[in-house]
Amino acid sequence: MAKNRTKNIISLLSGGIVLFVLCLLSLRFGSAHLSTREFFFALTDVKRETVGGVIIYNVRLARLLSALVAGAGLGMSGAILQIVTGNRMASPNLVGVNSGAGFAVILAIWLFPSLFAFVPLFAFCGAFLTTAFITALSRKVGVSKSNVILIGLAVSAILSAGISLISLIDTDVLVSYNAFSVGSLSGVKFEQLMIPAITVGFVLVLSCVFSQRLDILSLGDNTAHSLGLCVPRVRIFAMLLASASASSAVSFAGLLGFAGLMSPHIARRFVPENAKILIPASALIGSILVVLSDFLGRIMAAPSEIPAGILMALSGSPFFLFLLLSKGGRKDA
Amino acid sequence: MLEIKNLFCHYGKRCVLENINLSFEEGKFYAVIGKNSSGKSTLINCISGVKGYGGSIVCDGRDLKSISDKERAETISCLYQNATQSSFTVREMCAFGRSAFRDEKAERESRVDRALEKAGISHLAQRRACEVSGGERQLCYFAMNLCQDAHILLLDEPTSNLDAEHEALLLSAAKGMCCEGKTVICVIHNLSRAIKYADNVVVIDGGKCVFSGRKEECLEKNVIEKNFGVKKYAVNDEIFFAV
Repeated sequence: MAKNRTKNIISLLSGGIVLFVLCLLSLRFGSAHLSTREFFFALTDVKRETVGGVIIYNVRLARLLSALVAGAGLGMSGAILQIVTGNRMASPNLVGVNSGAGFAVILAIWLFPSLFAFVPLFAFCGAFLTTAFITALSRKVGVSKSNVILIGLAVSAILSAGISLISLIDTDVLVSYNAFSVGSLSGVKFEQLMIPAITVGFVLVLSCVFSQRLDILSLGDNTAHSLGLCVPRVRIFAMLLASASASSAVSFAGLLGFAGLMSPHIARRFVPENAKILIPASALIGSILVVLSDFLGRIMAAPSEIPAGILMALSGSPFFLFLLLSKGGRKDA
Repeated sequence: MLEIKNLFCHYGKRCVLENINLSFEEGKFYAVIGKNSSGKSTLINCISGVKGYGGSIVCDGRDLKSISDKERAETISCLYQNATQSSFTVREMCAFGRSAFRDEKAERESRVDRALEKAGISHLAQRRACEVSGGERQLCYFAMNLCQDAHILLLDEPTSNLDAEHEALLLSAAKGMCCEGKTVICVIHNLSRAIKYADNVVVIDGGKCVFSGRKEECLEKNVIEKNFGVKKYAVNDEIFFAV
């Protein structure tokens, strides 16, 4: 028991160290060159009196924080959804986060082009309302694992069709919509991060508090019921937590959904299935993935950049396949 | 005392259980037998509360539809046919049996130890449930039931994945629960085993209860022979059934 706990702490600490190093690299390198001396001097320039201070604190730090929050939100959301649906393919996309956010954004750009500045708000509302709608429909027919997944797929398909339809009717909206849909952290401001960061933090705390219920739910609906759990209530609550977390992330980062699928799978390689450990570990891995993708996207094509969403899908998918196929893999439950 | 009154249950328009009236006394082992699709598992699902039904199921004067989640966990524990794979250790899973209760840590650990010992899987305590065999996993879930320590233990074909040795171990442990005043209701296909362990027998056929009574009465009236088309024979005072 103590051995397992030590192993978990070491795994989380190692992840924390990797993330810390990535954060430093992300602050250090970018399209504007800073020497090592300038970098460390800029770090101490909190009042932003030098060019380096302005670059670090006004541009790169906001971007880094947005990557941390987006990754944590999506990773955590993916882990919660995979637990409550009992499906390792579950991700925020499955409960309509991406399609809901995407549809709300393209609809808003099409109908109210002057409100482009409110895209994050539309994205959040679209994502969260879609999940709430899927949850409500599932409740009507019985909140079983398969119902949630099937209804999620059906609603997502309708919304995706809506996105395609609007883009066919007015091709001009595609330019603005693409900037959102590729998943980029470019130009994110501190002010945009406040509410999403609080939401993600709140979801992290709540999911740890309710972790035992999530663990019990993973044993199957009938067993969970027998153990005294109100299965529909816990599943709906968990889905809304996951939705709030992922919606917060896509509101400013765009459609970075792949992090939600990958992070829990990678986390399971290092920590046990226990929700209390798996959810924070997935948040950590999600942050690592998004910070790394954003960092590589900026330095690989400097002074231009490759959006984090594209790079994550390009580099992450082969890595993900490697993890799944590697012989040393832990036997999946 | 668990009483089932005028129980009806449907899957869509198909009536699966029809006007079931049964009573289960404390400290007794009830074997529920019947052919495939006769409604045995549905009966267990109705009692455990995972399947909706018409009529009433009353335990110690309280309708099971109106009790809280925690009260249900105190009252009924159920072992289902297919044990879900899990990455938790066998010990962690067993401890989930007490998740609805606020036990002191020492008491919980002691209950877990006892349950693992009764289920005969103490040696697997630190193994992951996804790394043990299907039969051992079934015993792991059974240990969880024992740890839950509810008044009524429902077993839905609990021995389908078990070898003869572990089958005997599980049924003996379940029988032992009766000595502690618990009611055990076990759906079982093996008629010989059913007769060996049961105090009372319930026979379900086509969604109806065709017999409910003491084991001796069941044997005297040749209920099993008539309903299952089998012959009875005895070896060393133990009764067996064969086609």
